[in-house]
Amino acid sequence: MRAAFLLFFLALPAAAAPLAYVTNELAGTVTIFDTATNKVISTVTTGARPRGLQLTADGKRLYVALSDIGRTTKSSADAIVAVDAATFKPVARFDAGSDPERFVVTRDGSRLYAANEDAGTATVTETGKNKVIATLIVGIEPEGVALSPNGRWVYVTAETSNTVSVIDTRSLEVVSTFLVDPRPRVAAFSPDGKRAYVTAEIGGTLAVVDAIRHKVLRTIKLTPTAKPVGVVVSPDGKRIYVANGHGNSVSVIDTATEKLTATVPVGKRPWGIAVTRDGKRIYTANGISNDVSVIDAATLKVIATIPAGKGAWGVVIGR
Amino acid sequence: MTNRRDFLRGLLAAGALAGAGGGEALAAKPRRRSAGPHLVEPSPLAQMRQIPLALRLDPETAAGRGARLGLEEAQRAGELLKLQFQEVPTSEYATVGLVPPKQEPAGLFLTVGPLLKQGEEPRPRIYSVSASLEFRRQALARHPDRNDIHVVDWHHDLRKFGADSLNLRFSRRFEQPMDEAAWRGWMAVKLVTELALRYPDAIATDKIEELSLDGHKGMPLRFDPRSRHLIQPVYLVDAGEKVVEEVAPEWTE
Repeated sequence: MRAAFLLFFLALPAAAAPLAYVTNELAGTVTIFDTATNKVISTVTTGARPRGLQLTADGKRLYVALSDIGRTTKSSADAIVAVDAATFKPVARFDAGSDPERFVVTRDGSRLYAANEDAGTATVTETGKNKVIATLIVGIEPEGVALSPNGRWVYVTAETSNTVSVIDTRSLEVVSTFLVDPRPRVAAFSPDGKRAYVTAEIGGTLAVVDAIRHKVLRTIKLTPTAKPVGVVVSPDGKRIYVANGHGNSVSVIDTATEKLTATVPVGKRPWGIAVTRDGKRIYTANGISNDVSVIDAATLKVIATIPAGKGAWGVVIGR
Repeated sequence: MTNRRDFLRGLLAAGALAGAGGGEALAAKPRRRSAGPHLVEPSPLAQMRQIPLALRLDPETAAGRGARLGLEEAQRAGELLKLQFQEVPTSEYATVGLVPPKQEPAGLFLTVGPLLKQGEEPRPRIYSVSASLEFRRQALARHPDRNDIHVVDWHHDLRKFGADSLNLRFSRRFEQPMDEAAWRGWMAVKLVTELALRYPDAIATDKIEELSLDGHKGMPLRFDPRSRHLIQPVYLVDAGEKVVEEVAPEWTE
């Protein structure tokens, strides 16, 4: 099955507040809503299985990872597609290896780093030439991909081998690998690049990593019911928000004390998580309740629930 | 003083514990990857620290195939972490493995079966990767009116918690579905090798009861220090080989 974004321009209203984008892996759609009104303004069919998504630094282009929901072999559906974030007009389609799940786009938009879950590799794609320039062996069942703020390091988590592999973006080599708790899912860097945080779904923990030396410093135990998956650091670097998957909550961690300070109940199976640029709102994509929870960062309460598609998976906030 | 080699005769001993003979050591199959022009391999094996590992499972059985997949995956993780698992020759292990465990002070034995019988006292340093007989009976007792169901530790139709990925990796590798014996073989190797990876500088057989790992069952799996069975969810399967229910033990921190 070859995925196809809708080939017409969407009449998305000009919004003062940023738009948000949610991938729905079972519905094969992307839900778009206005963060000012928390109202859905469009649902776009992507086909296949949309999961990872990211906006370019200027917010003008949205990248979405697609794969085959059947997952038997490398599929023609496997790709990372780029669309115009305002119109959803397809811009490009990139080979990013088989079964791409999560990925990052470099700040200048010149490269994609994608985790290939079934192949156990990370694929580096040069967007300008639309060419795969490296396929790196990482751990077993890789998933999370995070780019350090200075662009030098890419962390790739691997769920089965419980490892994080560190890719040097200059040499395109795996220069280090370290163990974390069982079933690592997602990594996120602090804004200053000194720390990285890695969720472990089965471990129920968050690893605090020295992102200069690539060493685990400490492990923060979350609540007993937590199944940590998505993680994001607030723009001021003071808080970490963790989407607890089957734990149906969001953990809030103070970065200064590295203590769990709050647990916020949200929808069912929050997977992806995003925070607005001003840090005032946190959004979770909830894969079983098929919606998005909106958390007010000041009160740490859910202030809105936005319907999404079946299997809501990832969420990003526009500019 | 016991050395690392003694410790990591980290042992999968189904045949030995059952008193069965034979069972070839599983050959660590060289990694064969489609080395395309862009494929970047990890560091050469020559730079790796060698960790002896003995397997005693017939490679032509489901458990043996599961163990083989587990070893291949462990080798890959090991290479990234600068460690390599090196199989101890069969003859050497056979000598050790057939010796009563009390005479092997540093050995660690993981069996993929048979289950300890009810009331049987577990033997030192022997752990079973299967769910305990007691828990399997409890699971089955949830449906006293049905005589068409049985209990398994794993099923090839499982999808949640990454089970689909593991089932796919196994079926691609061996062109057959992963059954519970295959899962036990895979899990046994995962447990032994993970122990070695996490405690590379210590003789850590005593850490086995502290180890808590993912087995694609949605909860951390660890050994019950009393029964020495792996605490884990099991699955009730009907006569048509359809999973009708998952029964998970209560998890306590």
